[in-house]
Amino acid sequence: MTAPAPPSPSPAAAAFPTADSADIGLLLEGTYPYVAGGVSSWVHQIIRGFPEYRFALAFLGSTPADYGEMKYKLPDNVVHLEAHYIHSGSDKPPVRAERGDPAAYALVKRLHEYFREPGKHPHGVIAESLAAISSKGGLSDASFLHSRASWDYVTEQYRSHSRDPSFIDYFWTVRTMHQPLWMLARVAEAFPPVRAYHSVSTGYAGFLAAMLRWKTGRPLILSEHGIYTKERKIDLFQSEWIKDNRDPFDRDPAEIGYLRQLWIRFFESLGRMCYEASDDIVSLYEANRLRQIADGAPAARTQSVPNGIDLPRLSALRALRAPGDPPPVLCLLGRVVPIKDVKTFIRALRVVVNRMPQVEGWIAGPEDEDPEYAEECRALAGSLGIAHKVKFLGFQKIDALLPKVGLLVLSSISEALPLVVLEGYAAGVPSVATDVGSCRQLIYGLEGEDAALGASGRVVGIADPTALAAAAIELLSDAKAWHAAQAAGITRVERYYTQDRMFDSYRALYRKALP
Amino acid sequence: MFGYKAGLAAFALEAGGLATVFSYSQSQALFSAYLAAHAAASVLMALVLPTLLPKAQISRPRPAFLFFFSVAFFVPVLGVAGLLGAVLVGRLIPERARSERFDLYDAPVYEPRAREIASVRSKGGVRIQLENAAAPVETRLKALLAVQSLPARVANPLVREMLSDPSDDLRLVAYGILDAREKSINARIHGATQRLAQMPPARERALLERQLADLYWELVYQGLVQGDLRDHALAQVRAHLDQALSLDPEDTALWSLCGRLAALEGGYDEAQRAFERALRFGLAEARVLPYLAEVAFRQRRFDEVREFAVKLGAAPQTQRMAQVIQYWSAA
Repeated sequence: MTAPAPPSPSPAAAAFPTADSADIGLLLEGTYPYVAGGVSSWVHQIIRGFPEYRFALAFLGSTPADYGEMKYKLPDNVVHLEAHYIHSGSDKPPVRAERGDPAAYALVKRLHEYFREPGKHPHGVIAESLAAISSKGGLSDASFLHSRASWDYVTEQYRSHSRDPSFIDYFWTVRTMHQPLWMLARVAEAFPPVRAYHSVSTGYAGFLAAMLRWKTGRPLILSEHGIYTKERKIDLFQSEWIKDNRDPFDRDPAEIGYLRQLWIRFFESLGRMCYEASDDIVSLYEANRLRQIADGAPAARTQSVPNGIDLPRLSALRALRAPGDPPPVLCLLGRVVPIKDVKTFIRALRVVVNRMPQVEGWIAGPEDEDPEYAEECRALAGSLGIAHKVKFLGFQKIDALLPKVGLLVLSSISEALPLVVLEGYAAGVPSVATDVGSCRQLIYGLEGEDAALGASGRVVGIADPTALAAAAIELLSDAKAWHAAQAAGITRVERYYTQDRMFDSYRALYRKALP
Repeated sequence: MFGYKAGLAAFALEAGGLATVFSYSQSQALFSAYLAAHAAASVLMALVLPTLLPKAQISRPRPAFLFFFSVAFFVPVLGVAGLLGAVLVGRLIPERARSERFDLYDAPVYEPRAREIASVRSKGGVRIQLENAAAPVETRLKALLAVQSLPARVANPLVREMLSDPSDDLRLVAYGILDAREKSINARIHGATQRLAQMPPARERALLERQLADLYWELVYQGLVQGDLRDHALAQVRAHLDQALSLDPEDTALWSLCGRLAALEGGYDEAQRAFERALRFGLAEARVLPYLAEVAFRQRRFDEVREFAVKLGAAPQTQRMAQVIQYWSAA
């Protein structure tokens, strides 16, 4: 069985490898191989680390226009790749009046009740619902979009739950929100058979994974770097495209708009479905594991596997460093996107330059993902009068860059377990990072032997340029403190964060899934 | 049968009427005759033409009659031509397209849901909820969202405290709130700066300089910048204010801002001079006196504070201001 050619107009489509079967089906949303970044490098690392397995990749994106060329050369053991776009809107069923199957909507009702109060209802409803939206089930997208039964269900739900007065907005929110699920159901049906599935996030990819897991009975491993649901939630709190139609008398400022809540609950439910279907749930560090459990992951199936790096390759970079004091260069290594809070880095640089005029700030990372934000960053550097001190380098190979850098700066408002910090350590560069994700653990160490190694940099609060600058100035101006941090970083990465350790953990997981 | 006859009669009347009008003698009587003929023709048209249309298209005969009559009467010749055309089109549209039926539904009823959560009203309540790290994240998140409805200057310091909260969600939402506010101000600063770089005419330049001074001031006033960045913003306010004042030296708002800036930086003498100038150039007393009183207070000239308070007493005040005035006037 060969998967049908993806409906994307992407020019690279013709070059996709295809296969009738593979060992591991990797489900990727908005990442490898089209987006460069932490998660993508990790995926690349895993694929190359397990040449004995053949991988089939399903990439899910928003629309083809959001992605350019592939950012990675696919390793030889990627035997199959398909790309699908959630919002391409290409495969809508023809508009035709339908009666719809009332039994299917009774099932949907049970599913929604389950999501409202997961403890009170049996788990089986998820599997049943996933079966219903497959092409053989009673709940087609044509029925969802155009049937009387669907209309009746939506209006009833609106009456009994909606706190937003606009039915029109409610109706279209519900439609837009659910439509991708049928697209994913079709993807699941056409995906080549594999021996195990591995999803790299919950969300849409996680939903696809859950469908495949229930359909084929093959084991599913879920590796979460960030927490997808949490990130979506933050996004949704901020997004301006969701309407709130409550009038001023009806509106309670402390209450989130109902449609916003609908979206949040939708992604929470997708996450729950994926957790439920997964045989093994992997997080990068303990805090995220607890978060997964809070979001509905069965505790017994969870574990933490930290990222690891290719130590020999990066350690070699230490020999390239000029001896003596650290170079007066602060470098932010990462995509120029809002989540990295590049602006705080630029603001901090303003403060650093006031005290140490010789210092430069480098921003090394692709700007194509959010050109508008990159433009705002440049404008900020201009308005702070340090445009000549901030260098936007674009995408850079770290091998050439790290030896020239004095400190890596991570000003992100959200991170998981950032690889760049580890890569910096191996190459002899300490870090100043914000107190997000596992940064505290990476820089000050976990309690016990790890912490005894000392600090391999500094941790500061988010969006606090003054504190970030103070930490950078402290390390750059005090050679002794800098060398101590460098030494701690090298030991820490060598002891706890090697690629071999990570591969061993995943080898065990893969062996269990593919006996 | 009636239709054809009436139609023919209408045409005859209209033609006769027109003939009278276009004959060369121009008399009142002739024109009245034409009007009478034309009116009679229009009545006949309005009776006949609707009957030629399919029944389904005329649901209410009386307004239809009035409509046809008005068009025929007030737009001589052309009106009738237009009506004939319309009738023709009406007859040509196939029956099927017309028989499309609409279902009638009752107007939907909206039933507001009872609120499940206690509302957070006062600033004090919000602060307590926010600072109580033991409260569930959901509750604190709601408090944080409620803070957004407070004025930015009051809300921002509260929100900023949340940036170092142990909960990821709260931190990120707090960040999002501050970032959005700062972003909108910075975007306007960027726009104004770029426009200024194009050397616009003096009048626009004065406007842009004032705008920039105001925007940088807003960053400081709302508490969006700290430390060196605050110093930088204040320096920008000063620079743009000087530029704006050199272009428009008698602007009251500029002098008022100048006074507030000086007062913030501790230059009370300069602040007093600026406020007095604003007053001299015509800014309302009620808007300057509180600042002058503050400056006097900072310089420990309490008698003057009292004087200002008494002068201010007459003007309408906010509740808090009224309390301050009462205190100082009573003493």
